[in-house]
Amino acid sequence: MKTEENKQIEELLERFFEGRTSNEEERALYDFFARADLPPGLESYKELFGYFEKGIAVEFREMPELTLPSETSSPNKRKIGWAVVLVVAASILALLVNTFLSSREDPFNPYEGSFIVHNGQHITDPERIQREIGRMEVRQERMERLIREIDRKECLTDMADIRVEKAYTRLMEDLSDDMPRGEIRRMLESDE
Amino acid sequence: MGTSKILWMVLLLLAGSVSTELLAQKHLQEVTKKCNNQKEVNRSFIQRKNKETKELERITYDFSIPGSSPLIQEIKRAFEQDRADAYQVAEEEKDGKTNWYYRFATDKGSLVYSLDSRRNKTSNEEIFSFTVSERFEKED
Repeated sequence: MKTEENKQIEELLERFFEGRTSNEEERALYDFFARADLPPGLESYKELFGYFEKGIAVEFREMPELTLPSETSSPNKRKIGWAVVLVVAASILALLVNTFLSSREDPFNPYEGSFIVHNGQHITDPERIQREIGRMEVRQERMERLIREIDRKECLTDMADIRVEKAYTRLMEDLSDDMPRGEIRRMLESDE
Repeated sequence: MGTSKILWMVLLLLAGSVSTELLAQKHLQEVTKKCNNQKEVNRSFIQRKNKETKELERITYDFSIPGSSPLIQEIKRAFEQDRADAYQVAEEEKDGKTNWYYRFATDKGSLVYSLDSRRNKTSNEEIFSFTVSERFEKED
């Protein structure tokens, strides 16, 4: 006849194998199976609980120490880290070089070699030279305008002369009589 | 190299480039050299190159001369003496003053001499600008 304790142990065993026992219940099982006099039906579990109680601990002690791979000690991780750093650095460098090159003005300066001498001082400051160029260009533009205007007037005068000349020739040709022709010629010559 | 040496070199270049027309603007050239030798005359030398061909397009000299300087009369006289040789002459009467713009032909383009004046805003002194500008025409 099973005792009350045996029944409880059997229930605990059932729950132990189902994985539903608490730490206290497991401790009770270990203590129970550590006894020398076990009921005949439960003796077969003694070895099992003896192993759980001692064997696992021995196995852990005998196992070589396991060390988790640390980030600093892993050569592969170190290599990957350096590669990432290099890629980022190269990208930043490429970006800076690109920005520098794109922001740079055309190195060709059409006014290179120009200078100003003011109160005996030789000045090559680009801003001063640029102002001077602006001033000169205004004057030169005015001069060009004036020359164009004179050219236009001269051209108009030439055209007027040509028109008068043509009209005179036509008039002379149209006059069949020599007398009025001679009279007109005399009048024009006396005007000159 | 000193500034005066550079100026001399440029003047020699200008003179060389217009060798065939040397007599055409003889008096103006002489007075230009004189201006260049006057230390108290402020000047600017501007040269411009073509952005594409990198060749020289224009060389301009500008002398700022006070109205009281005897150089002004010499420059005006030089304009009058070389007038007949200029192929383009523009004389502008403005505010009782005459401004001169003469253009001469050279082997490589043209040479323009001009003289005009303005009043200094602070001192009210009349300042003359005597400009010599050589333009290089494109060779086809």
